[in-house]
Amino acid sequence: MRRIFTSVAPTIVTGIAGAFVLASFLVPSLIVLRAPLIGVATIIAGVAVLMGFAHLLYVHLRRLRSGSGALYSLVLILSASAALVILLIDRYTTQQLFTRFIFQHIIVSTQTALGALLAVFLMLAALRMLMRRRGAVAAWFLAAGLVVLVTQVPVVVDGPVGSVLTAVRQVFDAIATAGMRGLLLGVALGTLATAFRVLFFIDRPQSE
Amino acid sequence: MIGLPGLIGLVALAVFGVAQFFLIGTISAGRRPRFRPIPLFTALRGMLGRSIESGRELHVSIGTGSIGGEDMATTLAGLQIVEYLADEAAASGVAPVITTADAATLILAEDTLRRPYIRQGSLENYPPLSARLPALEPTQYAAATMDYLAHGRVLANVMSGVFGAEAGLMARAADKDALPQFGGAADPRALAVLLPTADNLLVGEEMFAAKAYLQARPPHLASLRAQDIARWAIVAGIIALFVIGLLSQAGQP
Repeated sequence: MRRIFTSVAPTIVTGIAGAFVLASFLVPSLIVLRAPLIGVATIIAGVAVLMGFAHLLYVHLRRLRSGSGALYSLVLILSASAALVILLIDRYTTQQLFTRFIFQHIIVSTQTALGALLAVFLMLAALRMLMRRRGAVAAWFLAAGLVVLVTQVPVVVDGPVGSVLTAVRQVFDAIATAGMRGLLLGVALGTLATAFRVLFFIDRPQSE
Repeated sequence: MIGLPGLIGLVALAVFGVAQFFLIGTISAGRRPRFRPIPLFTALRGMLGRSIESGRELHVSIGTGSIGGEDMATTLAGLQIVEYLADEAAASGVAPVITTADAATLILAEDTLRRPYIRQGSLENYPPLSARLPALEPTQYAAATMDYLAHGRVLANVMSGVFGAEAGLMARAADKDALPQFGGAADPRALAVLLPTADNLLVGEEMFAAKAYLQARPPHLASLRAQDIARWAIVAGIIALFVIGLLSQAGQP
C-alpha cells in the first residue's frame, strides 16, 4: 500500500502531466491543458516556499540553541520574521511602501555590493590560477582574457591599428558565438535526454 | 491540428526515443559503449570516504534553479550527483551537505538523500538537516554559502546545477581556504567565473552525463550514446546546410 503512494502514484501523475504538457507544445490547440497544470505547480511552489521558510527558521533556531554562530542566527531569525510580518501587512496597503523600501534599500543594495566584489574576486581567482596551474588551460584563459580586454575596451582608434582591432574583434566574436551555440546545443540535447527519461519512467527523481 | 514545427519536433522525439530504446537493448546485451574519461566523476568516487576519514563535510550545491521551470533539467542533472552520493551516504553513515536556493528543489534533494536510507531500512540513521536552504534568492544564497564555506568544516566544494555569475562568490570563498572544487554549469556566465577556481569543471552537456558515468546503468549509457548520435547528426546537418548555402550563392550571378 505504501508503495502506491511513494512510487506508483507519483510516477503515473508525472507521466500524465508530462504527456499533457508535451502534447500542448506540439498541438497549439491543446494549450488549455497546460493552464491548470501551471496553476497546480504554482500552488505547490508556494507551499514549498512556506516550508522552506520554516526550514530556514528551524535550522537557525537549532544553531541558536547550540551556540555556534548564534549571533548571526539571531539576526537572521529577527530580520526574516520582521520581513515576513512587514510584507504581510504591506499587502493590505495601496502603495506597498515598506515592500518597496525593503527591496530597493536593503536587498538590491546588498546584491549590488556583492556583485561589485565579484570582479575583484574573479581577478584574484584568475591570478591564483595562473600561479597554481601553469598549463594549457591557464594559458588559454590568459590569452582569451587579454584579447577580450584589448578588443572590447570602448576606445576609438583610427587608422590601421583600428582596422586590425576591429578584424580581431570580429574573429573572436564569431568564435565566441560558435562556442556559445555549441554549448547551448549540448545543453538542449541533455535537456531532451533528461526529459525523455523522466517521461518514459527510466528516471524517477520524484519517487522511490 | 498539429503544425509543421510540432510535427518536426514529434518526429525528432520519436527518432531519439527509438534510438534510445534500441541502444538500451544492445547495451543490455553486453555491448557497452566507451566514453572519454571525465576527471570530475573519477574524483567524486570515494569522496565521502575521505569525508569520513577527515571528519569534514562534503558540500554539494545544486544551485538556484527550480524544478518547475526551464531550469528543471539542469537542476535534475545536479541532483544526479546527489543521488550517487546518497547511495554512498546510506552505506557509510555520513551524508554530504546539500544546499539550494529553491524551496521545491530542497524537498526533492531531501527526498533523494533519504531514499537510500529507506531502501536499506536504516531511516533512523538519516541526518535530517543534510539538505539545506540557506536563502531563497541567488545572491543571498551565495552570501550564506560563502559563510558556510568559510566557517564550516568543509572537505570539498561541489557545485553542479543552475548558477549565474554569483557562483564566483562561492567559488572564491572555497578558493580562499584552498578547498578542492568541482563545478558544473550550463550557463556561460557561471562557467566563466568557475573556470579559474574549479579543479574540475563540467561544461554544459557533461553535467547531464553524471548518471551514465557514476552509475553506468544501460538506460543511462544508452541515453548518453543517443545524445552523441544526435549531436553528430546536427553537426552534419549544419555543415550540409552551410555547403548548400555556399554553393547556391556561388551559382548566383
